[in-house]
Amino acid sequence: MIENPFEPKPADDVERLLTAFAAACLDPSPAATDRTRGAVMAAARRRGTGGGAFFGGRQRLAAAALLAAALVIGMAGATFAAAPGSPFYGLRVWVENATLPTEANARADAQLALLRERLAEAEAASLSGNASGVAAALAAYRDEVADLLATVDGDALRLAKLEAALGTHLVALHALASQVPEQAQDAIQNAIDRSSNAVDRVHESQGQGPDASSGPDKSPKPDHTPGGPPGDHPTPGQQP
Amino acid sequence: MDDEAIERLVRAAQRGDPEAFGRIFDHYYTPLHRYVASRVGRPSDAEDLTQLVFVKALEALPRYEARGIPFGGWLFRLARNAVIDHVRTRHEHAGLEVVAQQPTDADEPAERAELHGELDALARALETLTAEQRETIALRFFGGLSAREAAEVMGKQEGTIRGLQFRAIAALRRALDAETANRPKTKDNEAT
Repeated sequence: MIENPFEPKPADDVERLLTAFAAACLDPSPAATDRTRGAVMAAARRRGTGGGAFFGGRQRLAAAALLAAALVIGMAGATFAAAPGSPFYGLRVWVENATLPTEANARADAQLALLRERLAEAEAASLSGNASGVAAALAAYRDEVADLLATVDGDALRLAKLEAALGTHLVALHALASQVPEQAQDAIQNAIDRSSNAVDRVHESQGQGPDASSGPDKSPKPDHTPGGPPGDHPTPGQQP
Repeated sequence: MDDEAIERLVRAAQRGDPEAFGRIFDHYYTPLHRYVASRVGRPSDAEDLTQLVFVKALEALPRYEARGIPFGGWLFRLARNAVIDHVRTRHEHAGLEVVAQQPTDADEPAERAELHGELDALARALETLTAEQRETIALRFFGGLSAREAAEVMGKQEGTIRGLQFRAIAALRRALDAETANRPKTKDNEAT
């Protein structure tokens, strides 16, 4: 066997002395050993019975993942239940718009449904005297009207559906204008203006002038069923 | 106790078994105390620091993952950091001669005196080493670590540790030989 000159050799005089030195000069006294062991074991027992202090790396990771998932779920819940005027309402509206269908007709129908929902939210906020909620819901309404106009432009059926829906909405908005708190009056007037302009745009796209409509403000048609084509429903002055 | 047995005890201690930590303490206490005492000199400081290292190990144990690093290396690295902090804050380092005062196993007073003289000479020789050589000797001979564990503690290659040890032993031998060469002369002087 080849001897390794770098390994400690027990027979070596220096190494023998080092071992003797460690035992004679560096060993703890029995009293020190007892004191230290007692203190360390007391700490170990406290931690052992404490439970959580002994969590390993994996358990901590799992706990962190669970906490993160709970936060995500909690935030998602808060977002989807967010009322107008609440901190998550803008995020909720954004998520709803981001998840709209891509197919044009389905998308237009979904957008009309969102418009109705915004209007319902404005009415609910108005009933509870929540002026900022009314303003937030109507701001979202105005944005969605603009988006909808951009997507339905040029399609007769979708334009007709939009015209019918906006007519109904104008009636609702005028009714709401008499109920909302004063702070929300500007918001509702803006929404009425946006809807009226949208109706004009629809008529222009259909080859009619803005004057072709009639009604309280650019001809709302109160007995239209929202979402249905105008030809399917009687208008004021028409007989079924 | 082999590395596998140590790792089993460590896992049990991580699960909250204080008795497993007690067995780890029993296995490492004396070598750790020897290492700390060789670095700080004063026995009361060595006792306090050794206790501190085990308490720190207890706190850090949940974060310990073997990953090829032996537990001994991990524990002694805690000790080394504690010693460095201690020396930095106290700004003092007791010479090793100071600790060479405990009774030895030698029965006869003459033998005891001779061994005491040799140990004192060794303590003085240790003071002549470089800091890295002294640390290597402390980890390998007082702490009982393998070259790989010592390398882990000092953040060096295993080959570097072996080289440091080789040069340290050679330096100690030279220093001790010089002391031995001087000793008879001193006795002669005393006789005359």
